[in-house]
Amino acid sequence: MNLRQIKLVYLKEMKDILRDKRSLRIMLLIPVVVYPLMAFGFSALAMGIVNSQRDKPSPVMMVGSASHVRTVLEQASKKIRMVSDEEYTRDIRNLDSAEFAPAQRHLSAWISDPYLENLDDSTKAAYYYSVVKGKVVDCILEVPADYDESRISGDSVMFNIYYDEQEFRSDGAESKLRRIIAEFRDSTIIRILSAAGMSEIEAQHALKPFWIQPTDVAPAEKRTGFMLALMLPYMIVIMVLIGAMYPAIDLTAGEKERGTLETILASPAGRDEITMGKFLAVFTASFVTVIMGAISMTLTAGFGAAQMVNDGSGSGFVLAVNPASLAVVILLMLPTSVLFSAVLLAISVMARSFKEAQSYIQPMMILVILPSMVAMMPGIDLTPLLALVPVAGISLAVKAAMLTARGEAFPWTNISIVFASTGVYALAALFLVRQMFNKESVLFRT
Amino acid sequence: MIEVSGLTKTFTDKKRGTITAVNNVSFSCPSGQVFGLLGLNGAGKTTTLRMLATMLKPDSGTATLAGYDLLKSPGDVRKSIGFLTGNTGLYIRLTGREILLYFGQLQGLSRKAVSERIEKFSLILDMEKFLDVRVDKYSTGMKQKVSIARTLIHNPSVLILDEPTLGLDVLASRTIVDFIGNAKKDGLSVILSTHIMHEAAHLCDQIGVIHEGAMKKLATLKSLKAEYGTDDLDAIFVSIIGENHA
Repeated sequence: MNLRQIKLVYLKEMKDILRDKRSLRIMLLIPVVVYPLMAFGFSALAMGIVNSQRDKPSPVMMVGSASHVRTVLEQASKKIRMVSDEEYTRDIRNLDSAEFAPAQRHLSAWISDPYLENLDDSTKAAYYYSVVKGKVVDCILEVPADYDESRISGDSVMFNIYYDEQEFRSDGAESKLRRIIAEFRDSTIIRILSAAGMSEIEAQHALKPFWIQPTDVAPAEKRTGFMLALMLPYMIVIMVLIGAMYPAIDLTAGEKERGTLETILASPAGRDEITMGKFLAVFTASFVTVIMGAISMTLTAGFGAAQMVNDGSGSGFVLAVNPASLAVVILLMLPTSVLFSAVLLAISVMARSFKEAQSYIQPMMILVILPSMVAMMPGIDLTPLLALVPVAGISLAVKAAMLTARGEAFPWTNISIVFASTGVYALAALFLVRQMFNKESVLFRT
Repeated sequence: MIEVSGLTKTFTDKKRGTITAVNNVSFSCPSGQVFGLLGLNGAGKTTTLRMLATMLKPDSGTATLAGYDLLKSPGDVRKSIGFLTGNTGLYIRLTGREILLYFGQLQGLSRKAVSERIEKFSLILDMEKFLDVRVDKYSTGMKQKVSIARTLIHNPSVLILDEPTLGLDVLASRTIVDFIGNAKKDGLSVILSTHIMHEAAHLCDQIGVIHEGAMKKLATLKSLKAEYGTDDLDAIFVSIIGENHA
């Protein structure tokens, strides 16, 4: 092997990669911008939706004449808004789509008997379902007609809430309503106990003789480590793959397409030197992508952890990942990058054009992504046998490394098996690339 | 100096079975001469030239280029040849200068030596204005000039040119034709494959007509004209191919 030629080819290919906006975007933009944005932006968006829902009074309809209950609900006007019978019937009549037909069909029945006792349960459910779906109200509270009597007789009665759990606003309204009624029930209990002769403090105590306070004692590092342990194996394997993908295609099929492959083959650079230079360039792109990704994920998790530690109120940064875990993960990515770079090169050198190479590589993406998801499944841990499975072993080893907190011992035996087996697969793939680059029928496919 | 003896190459194709792309082809081309390899599309021109450039390995036969046997010392052969085809591309994200530097250094020249040669070509081919611009901004003519400089950067003694004017306009073709003429004057051995007969008539000292992989005719241009009693190389070519078709 002529090292000078390898170096020349490598430096030229790196220059080519660094000037290719497509490759650069993947190497830098995706790990550094897109992933954190996904992690942060997505949760921020979700939080925003939850908050706006929580802050807005949910429209609620109450069935029943219990004026005391109605007053209590009206007082909670920050959380719910009581919809009057007039507004309710008007809004149902204004629904103009066929999908709200049940609401309109049973409206007259409802007006004559809001308890809808003449309807069977499923028809009643269909009626309220379309009322909620039509956004007339978010949920319906049904206070039994004999509520006031039950207060005197001492019988227990049932309150019904009709809502759609799959509908976000309806589910939120239901929990707000349930909390208001639960508080109302507590104050009712205290009143009953006070009437029976207890002091208010005794009544409070009878209501809640003790509290339950669970505390998660896991260090923040382990909590974020766990989150990362679920996500990172999958994301990192994808990063290794996509980091290598465009350069691998560009330096092989892309060269064929642009007519530059013949020129380099006619130069004194030997096949092995060309292969090695190209491989090292693809490997560099892949490894840089994954390191950028790992760092960016760590930082993202660090800011997330700071929020968790500060109970969501503060901001800041906590190094939430065991630095040794990160080092082990990066170490594991070495043979992984070699493996993926070599396999991608071997595949894309067969193609005649960029597009053809992409169509070859897509099935491989699925083959890689599926086993990498094994780390997301609960209860599957790294065993010596699983450590031998390509990609799945890597994914589980990354998970195991992430779950190892500071001061704990890494499962070195299994991690070493993953490292060694991936290394062997990587060498086999490199050998395959070499074969491919020496095959006339591959290089000069017509 | 180029000596080709008995080059043969077969391919296996799923549909057509075994095809003999080049069958026992021999010819020679001394220094300062242009050998024209004429043939229809698919006649075996490109396969022959790829074997000479050591990209393909012959099944049998061999060739000597600038004194090096292509089977025994392919590396030395590649150092002695300049290779250019009509489909040759340049690295679009590199500048002309970077490309020339890359190929010059791959040839084993020092950075300094290559830089000096680049300066020389820059003057001869009038490239100084665009040599530091990325190739994706080049016109066809600019690309041709850089390609020519790339072919000659290491001072080769043999040129292998596979339909170098393919798809070029009149002006760009002119640049290539001039370049071949100059190479000949400078004492290089040039193999030129083409099916543009007036180019061949203008440039070549010897003609080889290849058809269905085999060399059907091998003669100097002068003797061809005498044998067929015409100066029209088109007509000569058609009668040679026609003879073999019949």
